[in-house]
Parts: sequence; structure tokens; C-alpha cells
Amino acid sequence: MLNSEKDAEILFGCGVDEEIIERFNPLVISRENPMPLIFSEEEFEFVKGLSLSKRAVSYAASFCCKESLFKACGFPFNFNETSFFYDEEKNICTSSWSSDIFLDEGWVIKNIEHKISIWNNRCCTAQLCLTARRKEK
Amino acid sequence: MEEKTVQEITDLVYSYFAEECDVEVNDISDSTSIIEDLEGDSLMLLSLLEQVRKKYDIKVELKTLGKHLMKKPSDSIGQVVELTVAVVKHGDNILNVEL
Repeated sequence: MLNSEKDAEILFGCGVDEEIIERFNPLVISRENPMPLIFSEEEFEFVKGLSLSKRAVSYAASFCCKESLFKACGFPFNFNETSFFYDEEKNICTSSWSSDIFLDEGWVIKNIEHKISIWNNRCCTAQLCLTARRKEK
Repeated sequence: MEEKTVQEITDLVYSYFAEECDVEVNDISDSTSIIEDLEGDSLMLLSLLEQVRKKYDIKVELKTLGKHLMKKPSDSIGQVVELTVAVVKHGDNILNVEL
């Protein structure tokens, strides 16, 4: 049983997104964060540490997750305040985010669950579920 | 803002979408729909705004742009030109000005 309404977590929303991986090819040779509005510095450093052939899919997976999160929450946020690090072997992204990125909207993120699918090395899909609770007054 | 800069931004937006969508610049007009006519998407718009942000050294957050777009959507090329001019002119203050 929940102690009070403020503790109540809800399934806030679900989102899906799909991207063509080769569209991220122009980003992979950049020596600085190619899209600072989108990718965090931590993501850029992570991708920079990968071999060239793995960078585009990593950017694509991260962008897919961020777009899915936007669709799940329904209000704008700074994409670069979330990080999604794609693990090719496990086919998931390790994510990190500040729980208060939706505070302006009155919500605190509790959890982000997602699934990444790569289709024929060409296309990346993310399915994401967001749980949140109301901000304490 | 100088007329020259507005024209420069207009040319940038037109040439960007022509190249990205593999169409002739002359086939694009202000009323061209980015999604329906050019099959463009959010990644395209965000890439354009990243270019503009770098070129004009603008401080603006994605959250601000998103809030502005919810009030004033940019579906056509003409609307994207308006958005881009406003971003260059007002930066992160874009939400506080009446456009």
C-alpha cells in the first residue's frame, strides 16, 4: 500500500522511434560533439571510444531512445541531459538521466525501460516505457 | 536583424532541405510541407538547428525550442525559415518574445 499520493508511481507513457543508421554516418568522424543539443558530452566520449564502424549505430540507438522518451512524456526536455550508451553485445542501452529533468512539468522520473532492435544493420528501433511520480509539493 | 542576414538564413534553410531531401532548390517554396512533400523528419530539423547554432554562435536549449514549437509549429519551409530567424535573433529568449 502506498503511504501517500506523492509516492504513487504511474506508467507515464510509452514511445517508439525508428531511425536509419546510415543517417548518423556523417557524425562519426567528428572530433567534437557533433550535436550538442542532442548528445551529452558523456555520450560523445563513449562513442569516440568505439571503432568507427560501431559509432553510427550507437548514435542511432541513443537518438531513438531520446525520441521515444519525448513521445512517452509528451513535453519537451533537453535531450543532452539524458545519456544512452549502446551495448552492442547485449543489445541494450545503459541509460543515465537526472530524475528532475521533468520537474518543470511537475513530475519526477522513476524509471525508463527500453528495448532496442537493430534490423539488418540498417535500421534501429527503440521501444520505451517511462514511469514517474508527481513532484512533492 | 539585417535584411542580408535574413536572406542568408533563408538561403541556408532552402539549400539544406534541397540537399538533405535530394530535390532541386527551385522545387521548394515557403509552402512546401517538410513531412508530406519532402519526407523530412525531426532529425533533419535538429541537424539544421545545430548548424545554425554553430554558425551564429547562439545559446539556445532544446527544451526552449521544443516549447516554442509546441506553441508555433514549423511544418513548412517558410515556417522553418521564420523559426530559424527567430532563433538567431532571440536565442534562448525566444519564448519571451511575441512572434
